Amino acid sequence: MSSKKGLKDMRDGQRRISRLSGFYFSAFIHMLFNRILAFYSIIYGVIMLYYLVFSGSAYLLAKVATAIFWVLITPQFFETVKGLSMSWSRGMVFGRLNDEYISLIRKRYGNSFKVTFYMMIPYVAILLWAIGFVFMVVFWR
Amino acid sequence: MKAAYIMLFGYITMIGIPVLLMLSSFVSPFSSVQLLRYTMNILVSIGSIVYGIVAIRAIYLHSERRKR
Repeated sequence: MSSKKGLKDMRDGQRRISRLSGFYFSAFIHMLFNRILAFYSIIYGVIMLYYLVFSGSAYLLAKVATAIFWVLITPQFFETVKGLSMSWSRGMVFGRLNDEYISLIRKRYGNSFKVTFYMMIPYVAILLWAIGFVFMVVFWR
Repeated sequence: MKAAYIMLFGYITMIGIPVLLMLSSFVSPFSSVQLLRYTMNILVSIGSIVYGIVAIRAIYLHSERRKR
């Protein structure tokens, strides 16, 4: 008896992001915010251009729009900096390489200071980001 | 235009928009650099439109399920 089994690709399209929540929650949040941001950023760009070029009096609208944009782009910014930190450190931090390889690459390229430094980069960036948000809320005029 | 060039815009805006937004908000208390801030805000708004277009392309047009 021989039957050909059809190969099934369980991954499906990138469109289904909800299954990410089961095993990679931060990626799910990132994708979810990015889905909203994709449309919102165009609207935000138009609002800001209108405010900057045509009407300076629409500043409250621009401020609220900026605050929403700021919140929506936060996971995007964090993941971007994380990715940059991963590539700068050759995958030593935030990578998903196997333990033996990580141990060897740390022996070759890194010391504990470097590892800590690269690990801190996204968190320092997000701290500056939060301070920037406070500045925007308080001093925007 | 090749897809890689379009993604380049995506990457530039992905890191450029937050950096410019942050700089713009950090200089907002100082009234002597308002032109700089204005320029940065213009760049942010153009960049966010570009980002939106690239993201919509990447998410909804480029991720079609492959025929098999």
